[in-house]
Amino acid sequence: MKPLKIYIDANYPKRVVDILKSIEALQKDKQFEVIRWTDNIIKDNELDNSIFLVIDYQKRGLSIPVLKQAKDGFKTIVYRVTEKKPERFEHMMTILRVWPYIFEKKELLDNSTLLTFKYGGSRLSTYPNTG
Amino acid sequence: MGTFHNKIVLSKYLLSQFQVLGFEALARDLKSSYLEGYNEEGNTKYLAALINRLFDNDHLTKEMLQDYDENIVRHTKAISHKRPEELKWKYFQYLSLVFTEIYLEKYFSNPIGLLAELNQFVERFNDPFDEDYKTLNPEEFTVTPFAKTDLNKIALWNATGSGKTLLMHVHIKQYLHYSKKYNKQDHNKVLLITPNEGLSQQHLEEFRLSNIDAGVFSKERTGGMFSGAEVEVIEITKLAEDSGDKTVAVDAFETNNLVLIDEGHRGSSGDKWKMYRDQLSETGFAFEYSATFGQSISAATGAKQKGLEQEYSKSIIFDYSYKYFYNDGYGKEYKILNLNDDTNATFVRKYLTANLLSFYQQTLIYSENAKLARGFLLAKPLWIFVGGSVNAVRKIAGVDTSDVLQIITFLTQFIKERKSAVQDISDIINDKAGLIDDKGNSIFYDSYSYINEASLSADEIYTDICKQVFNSEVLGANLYLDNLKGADGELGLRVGESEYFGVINVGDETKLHKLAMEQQVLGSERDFSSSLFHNINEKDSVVNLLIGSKKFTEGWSSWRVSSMGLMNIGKSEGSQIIQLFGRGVRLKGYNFSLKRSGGLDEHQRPDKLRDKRKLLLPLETLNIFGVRADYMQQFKKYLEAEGLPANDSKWVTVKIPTTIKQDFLSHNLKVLQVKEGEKFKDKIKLDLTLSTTIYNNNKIDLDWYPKIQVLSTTGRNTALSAVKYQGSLSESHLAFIDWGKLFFAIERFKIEKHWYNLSLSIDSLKGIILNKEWYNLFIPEAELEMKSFSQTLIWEELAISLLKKYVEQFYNYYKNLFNSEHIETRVLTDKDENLVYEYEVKLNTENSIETVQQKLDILLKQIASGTVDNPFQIGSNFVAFDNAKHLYKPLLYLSADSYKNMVSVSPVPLDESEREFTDDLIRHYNSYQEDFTNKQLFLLRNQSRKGIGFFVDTNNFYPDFILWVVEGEKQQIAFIDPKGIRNLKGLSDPKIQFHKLIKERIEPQVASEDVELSSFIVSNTNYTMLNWKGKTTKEEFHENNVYFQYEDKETYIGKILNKFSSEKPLVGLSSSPDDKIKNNMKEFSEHDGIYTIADVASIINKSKDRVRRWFKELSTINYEGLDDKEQKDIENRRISFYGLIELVVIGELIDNNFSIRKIFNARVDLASKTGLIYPFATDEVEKSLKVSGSDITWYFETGNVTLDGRNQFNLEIIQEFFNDIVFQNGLAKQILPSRGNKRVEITPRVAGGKPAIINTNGVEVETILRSYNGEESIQDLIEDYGLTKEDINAALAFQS
Repeated sequence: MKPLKIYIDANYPKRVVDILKSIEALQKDKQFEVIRWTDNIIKDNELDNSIFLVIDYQKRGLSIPVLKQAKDGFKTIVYRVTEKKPERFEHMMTILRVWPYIFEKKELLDNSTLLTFKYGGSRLSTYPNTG
Repeated sequence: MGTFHNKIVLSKYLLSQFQVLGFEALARDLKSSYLEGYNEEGNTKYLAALINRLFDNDHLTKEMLQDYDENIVRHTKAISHKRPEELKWKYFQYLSLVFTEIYLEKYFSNPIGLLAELNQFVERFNDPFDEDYKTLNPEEFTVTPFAKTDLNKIALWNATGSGKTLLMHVHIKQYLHYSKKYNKQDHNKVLLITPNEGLSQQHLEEFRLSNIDAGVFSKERTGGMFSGAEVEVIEITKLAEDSGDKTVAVDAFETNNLVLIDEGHRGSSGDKWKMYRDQLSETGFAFEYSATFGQSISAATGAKQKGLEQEYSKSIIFDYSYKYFYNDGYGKEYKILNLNDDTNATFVRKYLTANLLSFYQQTLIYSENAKLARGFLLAKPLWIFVGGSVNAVRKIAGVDTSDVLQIITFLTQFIKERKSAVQDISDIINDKAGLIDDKGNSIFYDSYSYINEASLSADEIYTDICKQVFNSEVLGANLYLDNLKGADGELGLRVGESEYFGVINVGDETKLHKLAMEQQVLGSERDFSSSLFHNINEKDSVVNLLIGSKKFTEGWSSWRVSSMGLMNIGKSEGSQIIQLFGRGVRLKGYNFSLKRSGGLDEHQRPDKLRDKRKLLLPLETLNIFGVRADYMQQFKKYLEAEGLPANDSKWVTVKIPTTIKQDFLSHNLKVLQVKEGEKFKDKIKLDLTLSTTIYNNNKIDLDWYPKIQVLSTTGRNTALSAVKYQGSLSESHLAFIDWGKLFFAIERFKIEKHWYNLSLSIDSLKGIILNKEWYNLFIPEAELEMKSFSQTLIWEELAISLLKKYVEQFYNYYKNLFNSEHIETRVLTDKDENLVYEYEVKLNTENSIETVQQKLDILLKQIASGTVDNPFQIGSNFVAFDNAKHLYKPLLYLSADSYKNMVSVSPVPLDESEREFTDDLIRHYNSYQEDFTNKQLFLLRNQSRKGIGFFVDTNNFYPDFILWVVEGEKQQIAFIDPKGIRNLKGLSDPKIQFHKLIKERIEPQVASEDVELSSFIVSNTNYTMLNWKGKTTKEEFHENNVYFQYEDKETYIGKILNKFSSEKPLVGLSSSPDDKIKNNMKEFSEHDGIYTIADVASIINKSKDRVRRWFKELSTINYEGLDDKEQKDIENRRISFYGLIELVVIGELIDNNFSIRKIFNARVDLASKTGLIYPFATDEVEKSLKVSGSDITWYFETGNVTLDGRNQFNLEIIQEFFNDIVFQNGLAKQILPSRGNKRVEITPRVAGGKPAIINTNGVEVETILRSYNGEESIQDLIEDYGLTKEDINAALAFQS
């Protein structure tokens, strides 16, 4: 079984990504791999085994590039930050709280290529049924 | 009667319109099944092939053929509407429709002119000293001049099974179209005359499928005899001089009908029926259809025959009689088995047993190879016997006798007398039966290979025949003949209590049954029984034998007939037998190709066909045998006179395998293709606008002279040969145009072409046609003068023809542009369609081809042994050779002129110039080997259609060769086309200018893969022979990659290779964005709609209201940069990156009171100058832009584009914006706004197109702004996102 590749947007704070990479390093059998700040070629057959974490600041709904990307088969988890000035600690904690659910709910991405979570929240929702 | 083909003057006249003498000369280029169907533009694929033949044709123009093709496609769609699949014509069907188009247009537009032209042709045809026509008319048959009354009938000589019914439906539509077009809709009714009710019913069903309203004429109908439908169907037998119980007086119809006559041979030999038919169309028009015109004429005698010859010589417009059909590979093979001595009862018994065995073999193959048979759409075999007498029972010397009874007697004997039957079987399969033909040859020699290979004993065969053919597993049971009272006219045959295996279908079944019972045949009467005859075509029919009188020869149709016995058939039955034969050889064929497996061409053939042919051949062969049939001998003669073999084709085929050299595989040779998924129609929305610049170097020519040729043809060499007058349509002409009609004509043209992404309006069409700069119209001056109102119809037609051509060129220009911007490479494999695996060489056995045949045999042996002479001379101008650098061997060279009508090769062999090019290349390589150190050279013949084609001008261009020079990872690819250039349009010819297109537009897209591209023309016309040489120096030719093959024989290859390697590669654009992610956002392309109004407002720092207004303006003209055309709400529309850049220019122009229409007209002109579809998003446009007063002008070397304005205009806003844009190859790729200190980038390839900090993998400006909380947060931002302080300041500056 190939490890799940989790690509993390350059707009996620480096510190929190470093924590996630440290967790990754603790794995005996590598279940997942965290990849940050990349300029990668993704082959069609890799799309199934990859997840893309992005940030979207759009106030209502999701921005067009995010929707288009998901429509093209990229399994995308969107961190929706609508706060004008998110607090740094809460910003990072939100990501850490949601992290376990990514593994729990990743199969949802087989049917819908879009999951979202909100700043300050802890749950993943399918789009467009997010609150 | 074969010679009648030579006498058909009307058909030859139509052929002369294509500048050919015979049908084959025209058909040759059209036969490939690849051409069946339609191209992307909605034309038939035949159109391009026909247009290619048109060079220097005074009779037909490309536009005329285009019009005819569009009519045919439209009619075809109309009759396909209710069918599960759209009809696709075979080439001969298509040609017959084109011929009809040509004829009807001439007939309706100017019948007097047509008459004059035909009689001029007749003069040549009759002239024994005319160089061309003396060969066409070898018998010096004299055709009397056409009279006006000869013009209103055309006849189609179509082989049975060649699909005449559907042609008839289109003919109706063609006739109605032209009668309407030329305001001559004065016909009374459309009548279809059939020979019998059965056929009438079949026609009704076909009309229903074709969505044509048709009804049967009925004397009994209440409320009138006519159905009131669009087409009335009536049997010829119901017409009479006076009305009777079942007949109607011909006078009841008027004489001005459109009459369609099915099975036209009926009644053509001079009886009353023909008179009635003629009367019905006397002042109307008639189409007549038959498979046996020749046969019918032959059956007549004396003056009557001569009269019919004259009549049909002038009315048969198209001759695709059975000989053509068969020679094209359609229908079954056939075998004529004729017993020399059929007076000896023992021989007759054995002969019938042998036929039964042939049929049994077919049944056995069919049942044991059901899957194969299904794959080739073969029906279960059926054995039929046809008797000569109309009634089954007739008297000879006062004694009742019957043809049918003889068969029953034979079957009874076979079933009851097992021992003698087994002995006969044994004799036959061991070729000891003594059954010989008139030449003393064994009739059934080699006929039972399948049975023989099964190693069955004669006894086992007998038992299996009883089971397979007679449905009986009980040996020794009796044969019974039952009168099936529930089924009119039918007697059933069974063995014991088994299911009926045979049915006898006769007129007087009671009499026959009684006679059989009197002659000790067993049987009974069955009161309740369903029809065996009608179920014979059902899948589960157990009937294997059908015996009947001639009555079912007309109208009865079955795919099953595999063996046909003729009993007591004399000369008078000839026509019916040809008809029946025609039905017997009908075949659905593989993929409904109608062809036997041996006739399938390379596009139709399934894999490993050769192995299957052995099994298929007996199933695809119709065995015809006669019993006391005088006609058999004549039938054979008839076939031979028709140019048909009595047993085999006159064309023999030799297949020459090639060897694919494998050494190229390790070099990963690259070839080009349009990117999958990049569809012009989906991505680009196109508005039709006036743009004269697209047509600057390529003006549209419309020559109206051929179209009106008949008008002035009162004698030979009229003024038509004088200099053609060039005119144009002015406002005074256009004032008479019905614009609604014109708009719908162009709209329909657009829909037929499937150009869904093109929008047009009446205004745009008016604007275009009022401009005269884009076309050359050649038309007699008098045609543009107002002489009568009917003249205005011609102007309208001119306007429509011109606009169609304008629209076509306009659309293709942008499509070509788009495709040339979406090119990628693929690696050539040894399975590539562009490689040839086998040549098919066809030899006409009517010529002396023995030497060629022997040479080919030797060649095949040498190929098999692995050592082939190089070159291998097959004939004086026919050579197989191996070119050391070519990817497969051998290549074939054939001089078509030397072997005309003798040898044909598929795929197309090399001509002389092409062969010399390959030789020149090798000679150069061998002489300058040191130049190729570390380099590999490869050559490939680029096949037309299957190979790599480029869209230049409005046509596909398939250069003849692809040449690779490979050096490590680098590949230089040249497309080389040896050709005559005398007829090209000068250096501006698109095929010459292609070298620029490939270098400038295509190469940048593949340059990142280390691929360089070039194209060259190798002229086999000497420079000194060119008319335009005075204007163009040889050096200029060289600059444009044209080299002269013969004058510079020793140097031209070197020059090409030098040029090839010295041309500088262009910088590549980044390759496919689709599979790339950057900072976890997919890379979008510059065409993707990703920006909302708010996004744009924020990026260009303008108010949302202003941007919204600009969006609205763009949406009114269907701007292609805006996504989601269906979205009504402007807030939900998205614009692409190119769109965003153009929006700023267009928006500023709008705000300076330039109308959106004017801006877009200028934009179209700019697009053609720059060759780019988003011209406002290019630096060239910005650089060449100048303001002068209230006008804006773009200056180009090739001419200017000006926008007339009303106000003073300040250009600085646009220039300022353009200063922030980074261009690559002239196209906008990135915005680096000054207000973001050039550290913020906007490109669809990063961060989903949102403003982001450069070199950070897409950290968005928004991320910084949200996390920025004064000076103290700067360090956190630096740590969290890997930024610098300058980056943060840039984001803040961008925001301010």
